[in-house]
Amino acid sequence: MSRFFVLLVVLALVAGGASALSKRPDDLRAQPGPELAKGGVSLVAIYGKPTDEQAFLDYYTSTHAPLAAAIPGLQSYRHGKVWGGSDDPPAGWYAAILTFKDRAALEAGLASPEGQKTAADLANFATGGVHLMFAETGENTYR
Amino acid sequence: MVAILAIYGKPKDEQAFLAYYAKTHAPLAAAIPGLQSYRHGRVWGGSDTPPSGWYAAALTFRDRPALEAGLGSPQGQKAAGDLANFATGGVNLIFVDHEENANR
Repeated sequence: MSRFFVLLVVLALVAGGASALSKRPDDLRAQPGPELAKGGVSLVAIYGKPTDEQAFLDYYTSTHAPLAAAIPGLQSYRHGKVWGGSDDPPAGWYAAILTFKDRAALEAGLASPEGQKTAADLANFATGGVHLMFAETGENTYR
Repeated sequence: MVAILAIYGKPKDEQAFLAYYAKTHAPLAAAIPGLQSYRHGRVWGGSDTPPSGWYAAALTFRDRPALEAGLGSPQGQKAAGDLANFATGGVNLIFVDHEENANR
């Protein structure tokens, strides 16, 4: 595991043990959100570090995100910068998760004009490369 | 909101991985304090051939402190320590900011 995990363990021990952390307020135990109604399948996009970080972020927000958000059948769409992980540096620089009801909905969404436009747009800003994965996240385990 | 994305490589024994994940690892991960949602499942396609992952999980937390406290908790340490018991194809964890959401 990375130094990050080691640091976490050390911090927990120094802070008087993990019991101190587990005694944090109940607000950490958040209510089940609208997530419960979602699920299905997910498209995970992991972007490598771009040549120009600020240009990537600006382009993603102003141009790519609106294109992706228009894909038919999209149930939820989250994206943001990677700030840590098990590897040093982390195995990605930016990540997005798009959820759909099922495989058929995901495939139809990607094949639609909006989906094709979004996919083609990747070449305009993903200068650090991008890996897309389609995952069966229907076997969900929600709290 | 922030998320942990766990991308697992293809394991040596696929059936053993799936059985262990469902029976042992998922309950451990689901017990992490502060967890808001937890989705996991097989990767069945993507932009690469073969896809760059074989199994994936997404765990969401309210914010960075909640994620870090969750991983630092006994339950988080147990779930992290359990990875070595079944992730025979390796695993990459990444922590992502999802504050700039564009939810439909």
